[in-house]
Amino acid sequence: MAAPLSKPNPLLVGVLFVLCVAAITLTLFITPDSLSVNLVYQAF
Amino acid sequence: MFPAIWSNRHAVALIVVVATLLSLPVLMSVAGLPPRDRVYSGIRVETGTVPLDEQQVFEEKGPVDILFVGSSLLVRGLDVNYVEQQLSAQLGRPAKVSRLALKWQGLDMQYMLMHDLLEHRKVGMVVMNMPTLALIGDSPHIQAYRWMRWGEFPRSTTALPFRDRMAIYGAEVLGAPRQLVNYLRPNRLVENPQLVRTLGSQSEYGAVGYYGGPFVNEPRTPPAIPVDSIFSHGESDPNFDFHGLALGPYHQHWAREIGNLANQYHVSFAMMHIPEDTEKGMTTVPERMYWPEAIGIPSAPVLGIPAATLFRDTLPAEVDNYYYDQHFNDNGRELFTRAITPALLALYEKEAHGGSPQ
Repeated sequence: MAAPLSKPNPLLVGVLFVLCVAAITLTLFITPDSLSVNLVYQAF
Repeated sequence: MFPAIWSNRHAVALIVVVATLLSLPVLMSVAGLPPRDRVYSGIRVETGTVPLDEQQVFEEKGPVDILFVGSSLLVRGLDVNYVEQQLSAQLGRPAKVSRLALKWQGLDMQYMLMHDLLEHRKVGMVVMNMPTLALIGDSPHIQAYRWMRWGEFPRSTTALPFRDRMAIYGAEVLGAPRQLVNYLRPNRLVENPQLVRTLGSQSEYGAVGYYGGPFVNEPRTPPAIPVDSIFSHGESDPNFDFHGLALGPYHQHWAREIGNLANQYHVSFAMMHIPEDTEKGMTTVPERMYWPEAIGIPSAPVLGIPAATLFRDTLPAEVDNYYYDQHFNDNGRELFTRAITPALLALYEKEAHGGSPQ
């Protein structure tokens, strides 16, 4: 039987949200050329 | 609905994962970065002549007479062995001519290559091919995430605006997990000398026709070109057009840093234009900027041959036979190398003895 779910602390959720926004923002600074060319060349 | 975050423990775990990934470049810098030579061996060979670059920077010893730094245009545009032979004959001793390059253009990449070699070996003269219109945008080099690591070259990035520093940090975040693997198992070096030479020559493009067409052997003896005409004589030189699309602030920053690097190491610096296929028929050498001013060394020479001059003896319909795309195939490489080498030798002579290159 699965363990009962508990509601996480809103502060922790807030921190996680900020980190995710930071990560998404950072990707916006990476040139699209870089991502597309490297995907084509499978350079990752 | 099943919640995205189902407990405090789960939230903390996600926070740790995301925060670690975002801060990994800094954490690795604090912990101690893996040796810099492993950066080169972490770049895929499909994206440049990396094993040869790594060997020349970190394994070969001794001074370098002429160092060429650039992009794939340089790899396919200049036969370094021919220049080395000619320079050896001129000097009466074995000369050393090296070339460092990665695919795609970017002065940040060229700064990095030049910096790494100057840190390890004494260099007489650096010759660089500067960006053409193939450099689109104004952001870090396509492969920057492979070789930019937090804490390296700090002095050279402090003057960059916030946006550019974030772009660099983004590249570092992207590349950090791969760099992390070096702690567990260092990247392997290509140790077979023949394979290093083969990968470094990009010879698979040598006998290739223009955009997939058949390869046609063409004469490779250049027309007689006065050496003096290969050097630019100021911004208004009629053989050069220095008023193309100016580089953006990011690459202009690295242009200045390249000039600073040359001054810091007291190394002679020159720039050389390699003709692309789109220059067919042009009577001037198209440059994006007046480079001596951009790098901050007003006396730095710019060498170039207008395509119309280089192909003076070639029928217009046959010029494409010297290229496989924007790059030279073996026809073009040999023709251009033979044409530009007398000017390179004259320049080296001048830099070595303080005479006139003409």
